[in-house]
Formats: sequence, structure tokens, C-alpha cells
Amino acid sequence: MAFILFLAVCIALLAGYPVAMTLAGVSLICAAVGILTGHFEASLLLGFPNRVFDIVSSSTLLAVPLFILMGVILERSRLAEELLANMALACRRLPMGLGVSVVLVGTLLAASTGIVGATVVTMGLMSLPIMLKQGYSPSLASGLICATGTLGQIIPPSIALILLSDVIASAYQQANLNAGVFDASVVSAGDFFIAAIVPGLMLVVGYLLYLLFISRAHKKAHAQPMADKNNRDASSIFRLVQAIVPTLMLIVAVLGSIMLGFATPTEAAALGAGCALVLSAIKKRLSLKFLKDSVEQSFRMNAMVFFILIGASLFSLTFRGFGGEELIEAGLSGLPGGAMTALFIVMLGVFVMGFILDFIEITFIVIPLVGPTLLAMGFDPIWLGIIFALNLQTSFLTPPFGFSLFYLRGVAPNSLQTSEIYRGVLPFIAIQLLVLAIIISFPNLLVTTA
Amino acid sequence: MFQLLFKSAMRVGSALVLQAGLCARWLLLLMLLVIVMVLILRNGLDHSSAGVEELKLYAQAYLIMIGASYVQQLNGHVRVDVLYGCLSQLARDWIDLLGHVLFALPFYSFLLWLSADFAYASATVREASTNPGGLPFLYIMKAALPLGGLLLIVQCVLDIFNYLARVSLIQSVKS
Repeated sequence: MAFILFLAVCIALLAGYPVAMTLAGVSLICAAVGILTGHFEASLLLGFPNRVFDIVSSSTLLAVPLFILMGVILERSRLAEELLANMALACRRLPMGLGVSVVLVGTLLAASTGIVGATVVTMGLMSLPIMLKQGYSPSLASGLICATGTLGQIIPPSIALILLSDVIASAYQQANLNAGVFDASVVSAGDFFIAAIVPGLMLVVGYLLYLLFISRAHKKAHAQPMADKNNRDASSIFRLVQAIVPTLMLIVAVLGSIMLGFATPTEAAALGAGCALVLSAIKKRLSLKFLKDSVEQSFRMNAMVFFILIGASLFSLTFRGFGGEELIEAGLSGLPGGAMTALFIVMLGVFVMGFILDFIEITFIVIPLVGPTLLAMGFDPIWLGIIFALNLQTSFLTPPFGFSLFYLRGVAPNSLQTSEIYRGVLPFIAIQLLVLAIIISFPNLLVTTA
Repeated sequence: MFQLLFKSAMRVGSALVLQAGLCARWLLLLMLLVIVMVLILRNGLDHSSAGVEELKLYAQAYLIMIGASYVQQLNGHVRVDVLYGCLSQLARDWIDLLGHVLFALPFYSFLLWLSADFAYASATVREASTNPGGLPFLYIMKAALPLGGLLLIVQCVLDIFNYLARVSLIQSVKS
């Protein structure tokens, strides 16, 4: 029955009805059938209001709307455009200078906001046409922009990491509870943030090395530096500094306050949103309309994310009620090769699901189901969370349904073929998988507070 | 006569969801203000105020529960549009109609039914926060759940009538 529930949810999701209501509705129908046939304990459902209440009154998850607000404000105050224009000017002498500046600006944006769509759209609008004009191959240019945009997902502060940390933390609790261990230690969003810095930077280095490799390999095609018309390097660097300093200050304010321990991620998010507002005021963009539009957009995104979470909680409640957890545990622990095989299968499953589903759905639907079992096998919760995050990052890039690809398609000129975008992201997916493999092989690379 | 009544009921319902959303969105700024203030008070003046801090949770509860129906009115909930994107408008309307009737309406009714009891039980004992220095209004936070459920049902019923009209099962009710 648990299997039927999962299958029914998958089919209903594919039909295209909104995720949150599909999850909840299918679960309710299956539960009703289960109650009538005596396979389901009706009183289990009574726990639902408590679940919803825990979700809407969670201090950790409260960071989500604030980081969304911060990202939206920064996006609307055109910070990205300024950074990109000035960075490109400063890097124009380097081979692949524009490509390098796209990666660098993407990293800065990822460390300050981390909304994937915003970064891809900005880069796509601003740098894609110039890159094409400079002779970058269309697939390289689009792949680079899509991949750089996804950095926001892993480089803290990241909304994906907050959601993941919440899901992993409750899976960890569940695993301990099942094992009869009363472990008071909890994993917090802050731990995830700190642990994610190294893999995030590894990705950046990976992208840059790939660019370097390409520029060596096809010297003629790509390596023409921009035509150098004005020689006033000093002023261009000055302007770059002027554009970078506020961003760096924002990054320091948010990440610094978490790492030094005088703010929780939620408070840091509020601080970041406040700083972003001040920044937009300095740039003379703050107005009542600006404020209203930012609040409106964040309000909607917030409700969307949390509504899926609410729907998913009813799903996992029902799934558990049907004994689905034992099923998964039996399936995963009976494998030859033990824990590593189980991990490999889950990772492969998540990667494949990434072709169709988005990170939010996978985080809320799949990880709560497999998490407790994997954690019971003795994997470190933070390490597990980070490799899930790295794996989920590919879901943004894997065709046909990666968010990054959609966003770029939306702003790219029609002359750029969709197949070129698909081809362009392949090497970057490979880089992401490589970093994933490295982190799996060398868990010590993660910095942890403990 | 009946039609007129029906139309105005639809209009009132739609306006209710819209206005609730337009008001609730400003809670986001309130939340921001509260958190920054608490942060400054704690680190600057070494003064902690659990009560004020809890306001952020009240804000979030209402942001989400009111926001859900507002987003539904705008048809903005996330979908997996692998196949949906390729379908005709009529097919999409059918999917949404069936989804609303089979999934959304039972879900929202279930939410309203259980959470009304949940909030009512809390209100009868005037449930307060368990944190030292917390606010004594926990039941108001819990009341966000049935309120959200109610708004969602209103919006869902409105949508169902619209979809029914669009797939031509009933005559259009939009003037």
C-alpha cells in the first residue's frame, strides 16, 4: 500500500496538478482507502495539525522568507548588473575574461543571495549576447551561465541548505528515536552553512579550471580579449571596487555573524535583508513601489515553498502510517555491500529524479523517507546533507527539466538552440558530479564546528 | 435572482482572499523589523525579550496560511510541468478541475476540520507560550491554521466554478 501511495503520487505529479495539493490529496485518498480496508490507523491523521503548526512556527525555517526577501531586494536593486559590468571591464585582458568574470560574479551573488533564477536571468540578459559576439561557442556560454547560477544553491547562505538542514535534522531525530538513542546533539542550519563552504568553492575552482582548459584547447576560437579602447585601468578597477565593496560587506555581515556565533541563520537572514534595503536606499532605488513589489514577490515565493512542505508532511505521515518506512529500511539494508551500496542507490535515485523533479520536491518527499535509514547506518548527518545538496544541484541543470535551463531559455535569443543549452551544461554536470565524488571519498574536507 | 446572488457571492469571496493576501504580505516587514530589533537588543544592550521575539512566529504563521490561498488565486503553486506544458488549454483545465475536486477540496476541508479543533482546544484553555517570558497568545498563532483552511476552501470553490465554466459544464458565471 505504501508503494501504491508513492506510485500514485508520482503519476498525479506528472499530470501537472500543483505539487502541494497533489501530495496531500493523494495521501488522503490512499489513507481513506486504507482506513476502510483496515490497513491504516485513522488516529495517525490527527497528528496533522500539529505537523503543520510545527512547520509554520519553526524558528529555523523562518530564515527562508527572510533570505528570499534579501535576494529579491538585491535583484531589484540591480546589484548583479553593476558587478558584472565592472568585473568584465577589470578582467578584459585575461583570456576568457568575460567567462571568468561571470563565474566570479556568480560566486559573489551566490554568497550574498543565492536565488538561482535571478542569477541566471541577469547573466543571461547581460553577458550571453556579449559572449556570443566575442566568439564563445553558444553551448559553452549557456552552460557556463546555467552552472554559475546554481552556485547559489550550495554556497551559503542558501535556502536549499536551510530546507535540507531541517529535513535532515528531523530524520536524524527519527533515526535516533528508532534506535532508542536519546542524543541531545542537533544539527543546525549554521553547521550546514559552514560545511558547505569548501564544496562550494571547489565547484567555483572546477568551473574556472574548465574555462582555462577550454581556452588552451581552442586558442583561436575563444581567447580574444575584448577590444581595448580605453586604457584607463585605474578607473575601471576603482569602479569595480566600488561595486564589490557593498556586496562583500553584505556577505561578511551575513556569514560572519553566523560564523562568529552572535546571530542564528534566521537573524543573519534578517540582518542581510535589512542591509539589502539600506543598500538599495543608498543606490536611490528604494521607494514605496520598490518595497511593495519586493514584499509581494517574496510573500508569494514563501507561501509556495511552505505549502509544498505542508503537503509533503501529510504525505510522509501517511507513508509512515502504511509502514513505508520499514519497507525502505528493509530494501536498503538488505543490499549486498552494505551502507555504501545503499547510499549509492539513493544518490543515483536522487540524480535520476532530478531530471524531472525540482530540488524542493526531492528534499521534501524523498529525503524524509530515506534519511532515517541512511543515518541509522551511521552516516554523519552533515556530510549526508551536503552530498544531498551537491547531488540536488545537478537537478537544476539536467535536461529536460532543470530550472536553470528554463530561466536561460526564457531570456536567451531565439538563435540559441535549446539543444545547444543542453549540450553546454553537460561538462558542468560532470564537474558537479566530480566534486560530489570527491566529497563522498574525502569527508574530512568538510569544515565542521564540532 | 439566484444568478445575481451567486455572482456577488463569488465576487465577495474573491475579494476576501485578495484583500487578506494584500494585508498579510506586510507581515514580512514586521518580521524583519522584529528580528533585527531583537538582535540589536541582545547583542548591543544585553537585553533579551522572548515575548517580542515570538512575534516573528506569529507573522510567519499568518504569512504562510493566508499566502497559500492568495497564491492559489494567482494560480501560482508549483507544478511539475513536464507533460502539463505540452497539453492544450482545455486539457489543463480538466486536470485542474479534477485536481481541485479530488485533491484540493478534500485536503482543505481536512485541514479546516482538524485544525479548527486544534485551535479551539488551545483557545479554551487560553494556551500561552511555554518559553519563559513568552507571549500568552499561542492560540492566536494556532488560529492561523483554520483561517488559512477557510480561505483555501473559498478560493478552491471559486476556482472549481471557473473551471467548470471553462470546460463548458456550466454556463460562464463571470459577467
